[in-house]
Amino acid sequence: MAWRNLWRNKKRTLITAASLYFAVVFAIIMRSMQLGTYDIMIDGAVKSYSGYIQVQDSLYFEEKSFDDLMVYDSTLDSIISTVPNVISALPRLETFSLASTGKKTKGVIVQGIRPESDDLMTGMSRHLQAGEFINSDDRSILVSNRLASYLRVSVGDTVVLISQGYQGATAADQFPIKGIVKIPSPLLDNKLIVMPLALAQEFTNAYDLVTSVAVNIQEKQNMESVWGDVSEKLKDTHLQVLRWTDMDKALKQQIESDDASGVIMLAILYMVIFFGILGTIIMMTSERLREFGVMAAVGMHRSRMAIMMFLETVFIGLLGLIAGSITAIPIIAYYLDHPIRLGGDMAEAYEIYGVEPVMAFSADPMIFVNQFITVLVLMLITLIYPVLKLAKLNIINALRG
Amino acid sequence: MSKVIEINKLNKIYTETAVPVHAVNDLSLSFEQGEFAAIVGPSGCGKTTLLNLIGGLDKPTDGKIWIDGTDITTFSIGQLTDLRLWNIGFVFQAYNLIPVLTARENVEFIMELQHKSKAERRARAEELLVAVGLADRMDVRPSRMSGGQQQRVAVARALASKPKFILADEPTANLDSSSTETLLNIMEELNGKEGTTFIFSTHDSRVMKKARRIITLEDGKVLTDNII
Ligand SMILES: Nc1ncnc2c1ncn2[C@@H]1O[C@H](COP(=O)(O)OP(=O)(O)OP(=O)(O)O)[C@@H](O)[C@H]1O
Ligand SMILES: [Mg+2]
Repeated sequence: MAWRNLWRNKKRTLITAASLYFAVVFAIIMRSMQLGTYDIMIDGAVKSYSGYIQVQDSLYFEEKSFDDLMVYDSTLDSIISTVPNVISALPRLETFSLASTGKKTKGVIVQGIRPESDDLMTGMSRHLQAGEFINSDDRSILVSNRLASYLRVSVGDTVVLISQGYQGATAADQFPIKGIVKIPSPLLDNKLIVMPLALAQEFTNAYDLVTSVAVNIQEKQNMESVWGDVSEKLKDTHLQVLRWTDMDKALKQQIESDDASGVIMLAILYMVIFFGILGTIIMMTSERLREFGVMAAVGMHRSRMAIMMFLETVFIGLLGLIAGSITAIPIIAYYLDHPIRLGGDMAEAYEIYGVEPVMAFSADPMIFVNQFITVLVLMLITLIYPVLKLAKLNIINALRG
Repeated sequence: MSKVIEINKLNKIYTETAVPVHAVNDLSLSFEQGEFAAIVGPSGCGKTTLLNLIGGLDKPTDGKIWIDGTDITTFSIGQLTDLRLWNIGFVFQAYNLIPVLTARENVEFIMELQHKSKAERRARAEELLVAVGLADRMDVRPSRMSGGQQQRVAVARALASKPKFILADEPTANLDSSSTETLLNIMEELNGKEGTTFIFSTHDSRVMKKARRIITLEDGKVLTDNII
């Protein structure tokens, strides 16, 4: 009978379901785009650079002074790499430096890495624009794409680096360029020079020392557990274990505030939809009060009538949700493989914030689950009205209509 | 013969009004199995109020109503609902069929509430709709039927649950004379065939003529009670 009632006012059922449908499509696509873009932002800043987790000397973390380096030895390596879900520990030595090519000079970040294992996490070699990737015993460097254009250098040219070495030593040397790489984060792409760790240690006179150890983990969902395990093992040392959210607070806040504004926008949208549905339910209830009176008079329990209303409401809700999901899935599936690359002013605006100018999508099932839960909870709230009406129903008054 | 309904010193006072209305006043009455009784009297004498009290649609101020020996005045809302489902059939002045259901479905609806099997529901609904002369209108919705036809569906619906008695408050008030005639003949026939007790209120003298017992009310009291 619930189905019959829905068809009694086909137009209204469809309009209600349709308003839900549009809200659901919009909400799913918007959330997918937000979460997908956050993934790109995190990937760009975190996965391809800092890593989800880093170990640093506590003093270095606070002061960022090149004198507060940490010793990296096989003990520390095995402590970190034996934690579950850790792929490898990636020791790094980072310092600020002046890069000069004779014509041009620029402040840069020099990063010493273990090329093979570091590349497994950052995938830097895949972004090679020219030349070759470095090996651990090379005496040459990689220059980020934009920096290379700024310095007007290419593979085979030499860059002079001048920097402060460990404990006041002066570091100055010249290095041939082995390759040009594109770094996803536009900010870093402007100022990164990468060389093998051993070469960086030699250059800065910091033998066996590193500024940080990035931890390559299996999945980003493992971050908290790995962070807890490593922290536990290193708790009696002067080393500090940091998550990307501790290191890059600006990015974290940017994502959180964008996320919050998205949620608020959806909340407003759903609020509007909620009152629409509530209106429908109120009309559905009041135009049927007489009918409810008849049903009660001939022996139908009020609880059964409430269940009938429940089924009708849930049906409208599911109709909107399922149709909305079915529409959104192929759209998301398409853009999952074809992220929208922004051009022109939009791209520039993104790059000012150090974000890759790409709108990506996410297929996180939680996006769908959340919409289902939200809509069904809203529908259940609207049911309070007919349930109260039924509880108060006076058969004789209802029959009189 | 066994008493289906027994009413003792029943009172109903409406207090929601500015001046309290004593609609049923110390009324005692009983009905036996198989009766075909009319309740008559001037407008406002308490006919509807009395039928509502017997049907468990309203609660008396005091007094007792026994149905098949059970006092229903102490029943809860849920118990009254079950009482109506299993023991009482209703025919309303305004037909009150469920608009989204066809004639057949309106009749089956009651039996569905009784959890009767599909086959039993079908057979009984068809039997009753044939009996009320609507064999060719079974799958039509109420909105496409005349008042007389709708009221015949309502009679079929009231009988579907095999109730002990049927309460009909002015069932013919909205019908023309030929429809009234048809409906009464059908009611009479079903009363004879199934032995179901019929109690109806009316203003219509043609209806009264068909009754085998006429109870006249005045100011909530029984004025006369004649078996014909
Ligand atoms: N819900 C109510 N609240 C207050 N007074 C009521 C209510 N229902 C009925 N009454 C009063 O109770 C008295 C009996 O009314 P009732 O409807 O039972 O009469 P009736 O015999 O059915 O009249 P009619 O022939 O016009 O249908 C009337 O005076 C009426 O005004
Ligand atoms: Mg009346």
